[in-house]
Amino acid sequence: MTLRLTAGAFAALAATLIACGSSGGSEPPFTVKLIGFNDYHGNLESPGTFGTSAAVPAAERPPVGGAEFMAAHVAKLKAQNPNNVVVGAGDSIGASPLISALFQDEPAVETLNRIGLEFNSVGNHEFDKGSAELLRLQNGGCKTGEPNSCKGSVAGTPVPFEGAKFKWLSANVISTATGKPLLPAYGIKEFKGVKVAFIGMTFKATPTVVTPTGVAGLEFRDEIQTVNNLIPELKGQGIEAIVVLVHEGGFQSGTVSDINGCEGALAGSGIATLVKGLDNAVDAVISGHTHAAYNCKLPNATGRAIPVTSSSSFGRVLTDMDLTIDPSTRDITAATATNRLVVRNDPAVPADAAVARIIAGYNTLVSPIANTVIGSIAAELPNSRTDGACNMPAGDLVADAMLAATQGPTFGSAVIALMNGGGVRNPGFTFASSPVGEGAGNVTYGEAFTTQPFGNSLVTMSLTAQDLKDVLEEQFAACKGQSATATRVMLPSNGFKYTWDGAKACGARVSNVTLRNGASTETIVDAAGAVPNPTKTYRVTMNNFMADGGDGYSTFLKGTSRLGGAQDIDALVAYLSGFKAPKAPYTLGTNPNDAGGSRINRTGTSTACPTGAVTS
Amino acid sequence: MPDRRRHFLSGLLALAAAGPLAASPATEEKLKAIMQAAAARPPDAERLREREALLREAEAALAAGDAQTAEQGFDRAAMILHSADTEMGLVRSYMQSGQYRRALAFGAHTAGAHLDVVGGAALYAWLLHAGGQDAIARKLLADAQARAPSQPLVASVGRELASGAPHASGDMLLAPARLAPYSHSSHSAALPRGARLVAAGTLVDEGRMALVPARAVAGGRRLWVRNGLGQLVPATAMPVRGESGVALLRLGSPLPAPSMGTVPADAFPGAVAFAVAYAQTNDAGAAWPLLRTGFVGAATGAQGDRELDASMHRGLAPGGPVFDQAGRLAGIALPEGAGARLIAAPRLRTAFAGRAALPVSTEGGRLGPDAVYEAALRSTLQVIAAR
Repeated sequence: MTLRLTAGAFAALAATLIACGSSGGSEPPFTVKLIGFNDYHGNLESPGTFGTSAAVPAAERPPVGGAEFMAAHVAKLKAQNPNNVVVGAGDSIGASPLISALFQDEPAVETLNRIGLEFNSVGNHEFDKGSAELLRLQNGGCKTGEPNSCKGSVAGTPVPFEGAKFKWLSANVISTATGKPLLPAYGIKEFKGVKVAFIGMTFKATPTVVTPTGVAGLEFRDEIQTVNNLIPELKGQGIEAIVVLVHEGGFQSGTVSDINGCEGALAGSGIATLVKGLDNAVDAVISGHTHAAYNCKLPNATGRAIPVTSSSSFGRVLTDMDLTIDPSTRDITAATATNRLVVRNDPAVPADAAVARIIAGYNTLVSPIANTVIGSIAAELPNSRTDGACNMPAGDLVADAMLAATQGPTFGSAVIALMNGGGVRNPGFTFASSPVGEGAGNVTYGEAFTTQPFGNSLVTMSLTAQDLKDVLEEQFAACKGQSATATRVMLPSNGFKYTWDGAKACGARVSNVTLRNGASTETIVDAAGAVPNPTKTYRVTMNNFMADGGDGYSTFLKGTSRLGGAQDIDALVAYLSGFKAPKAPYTLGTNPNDAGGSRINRTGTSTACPTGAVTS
Repeated sequence: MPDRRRHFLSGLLALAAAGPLAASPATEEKLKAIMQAAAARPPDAERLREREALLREAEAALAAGDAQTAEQGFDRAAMILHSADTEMGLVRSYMQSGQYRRALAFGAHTAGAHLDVVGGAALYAWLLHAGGQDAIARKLLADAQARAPSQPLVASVGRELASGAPHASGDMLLAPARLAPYSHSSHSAALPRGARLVAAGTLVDEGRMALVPARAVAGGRRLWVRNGLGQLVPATAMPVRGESGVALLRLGSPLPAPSMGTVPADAFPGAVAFAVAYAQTNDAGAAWPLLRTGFVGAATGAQGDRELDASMHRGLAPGGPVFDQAGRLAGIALPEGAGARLIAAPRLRTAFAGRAALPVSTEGGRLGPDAVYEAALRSTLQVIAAR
């Protein structure tokens, strides 16, 4: 024992000397801004209103919380001091609303990543689904066999799931298989050459409030002993500034509970008992679990009062703590803390747009209609170009749906629909059953929405035969105002066919444009590229993006007698309902108007659809 | 009081309130062990008494229709003990003040954080189902049933959800997991014996009028309407004009109306729609409405009416509103054959021009079903009749 202590003392002395040497010993004190919160529980959306105390009348409480405003308030606080750190005290996941729970709490982690969380203790709810699932959420990857895992593409987050960018800490949660902490016991962040350690843990009695399978293979050790045993190790690394993040808490006495109060000093609570046993090296405690808010200074083992805070729950409150650090001792010499509401109505703190997009994306998928079967297809209809002419099966289906939705006399009287390829999103329409189990060939609303996610509306307009020729010519890079680097071949509806020849010059590439409707076929552009009846008009449907000249289709700006229509996804749903069992599935090429070959044809032998300049 | 002891005690109190345990599977054995551990610790009697008083007062305020006072009472009780019964009271306070999304978020926590108290899961599952999340509600309930198979509340809720149009009655109306709002009225007259639900209705004209199925209010009966917050007012049928099948009721006093416009044009076939109405029952108890999600069907006739899939209205009282994805009133659902028909909002605007304000909304932003349901708590009415 003596030998070990002596070795430890030597190590600490050496570290002190090294640290003093690096800091020079004459640097003035500086502050580190610590931003803390607890018990987020996947509350991406606002949990409602909240007052600074229970005495504030309900009608006077401001709306609070929501990940997009948490991110904004954290950013505001961080901007006040470049030396900052964002920490959590557990229960970031679990017992969470549908928008997070349905997606295995991946949205909670993704939003916390963007809020800027760095170190986070585990809480009891981190173990709701067991240690393996917690490790997946830490390290990333999809949950096997879970259809709602890795849905980030709709929310704009990486797929596979990116995992937590912050470090979950579990100093007192030991894997019985390895005898080591399941996750790191502590994390370290350096400010101006001074290291600050953050020890993270949950309360020892976690197994009593978690299902047995959730804590299988884990041992939860005494909190005080865990922290105090780590102190020599940290000091051995030259670390004097130590903050404990612990998922344990208390309640103020009374029933008012001002968020910056400490009525009754949390007497008899788990957190007060814990702090009373802590080594004097611990400088501050960020706590949680009870969902209470308090801002206390409680006595540690030596009787020294150290800050102990908790910030309610669900992202309603943030703890704003300024830690003064003396570089010469590398220790925290003072701390001031304020709990602040995460209000949603402060014009000076607008929502974080990127986080708001994630919330909106997942909200789309929460819709109970997502798994509803809307129709069926006979074969895979990918959104990839399947030949050198640039045909795209998924785009053909979308264009057919657009035409069907706008053919009626009160809906536009369209005879042609054109769809931009970029608007048909990956993967198109898959034949195989998805993990939700809708069955092979069936298309769910969610799948259709994935293919048509933009919420574009349909526009039907009158175009002349010459306009049609022109807009087909301006699909090719550097032709008629199209981008010099992009060839964008549209997908036409059934009955509309044409041929293009990339070896010809801009403006002379398109020929043989025909429109078939039942038994009759009319020629809009002949085999020589001439337009026999250039002023004849046709009712043509496209989405509003294209109608406004998007993707370089400036000819559409000439369209007249415009009529706005259904959303693209509505048109798709209505059209596919005609192919829902027991009706026959949608089968590309079986429409009588498609007889005689592909909709888009190309002269020459090239088998690759160009995306840039066209030379052959 | 140590917090862990509070946890144990909350489980003890809630389980005791839920009735005796009949079976002893492993999960319930574990709960018993927790209860025994809790019983070995002396409770802080004074604080518990204070808490019990707060819960009683809050429940009484909720029953009287004062959701704000109730919320504050439950809030204060929550400062004493982290407990499922308090949280269920808060969830119901939020519901009775029209804050569905807040109730849902907090209900999720109650259900997930108090696994030993099945009332939390039952309440959360009920609310999820009401808001259109049936599949998830049933899975949640099945999980709760697996944890505590002998709890009658979970079984009752399971049976109701399986019916497709759940209606709370009997023990399902007992606090803390009461699965309906309290009925309350600023008008002195209580509903007479024999009053019964005859239809659903839609609040319009800034809360002064209601659109209801004409057939349901014919015959000169006394009428009342009640919203999803439990607010009850008498109503009077106005003379029926036109052939829309929809009648107008004038309310005895205005009900709080959500900011709700109507669609500017007829809904397109294929568009997502939300139908909201009350479960068809023979009693006149207060209830939370039910939201169903589906698609607008083909056009029928030249007046903009549309087919509605039968699944959107099966088991529901006729006459409820149908909203588009922006939460705008797209029309009224009336039964037709085996399915339902959407009487389009533009047609209603024409039919009731000069009699009821049905303003057009150009707000086209897409809302989630939870947001639509939250507004529908106020705008969807029970139509109650008695001789």
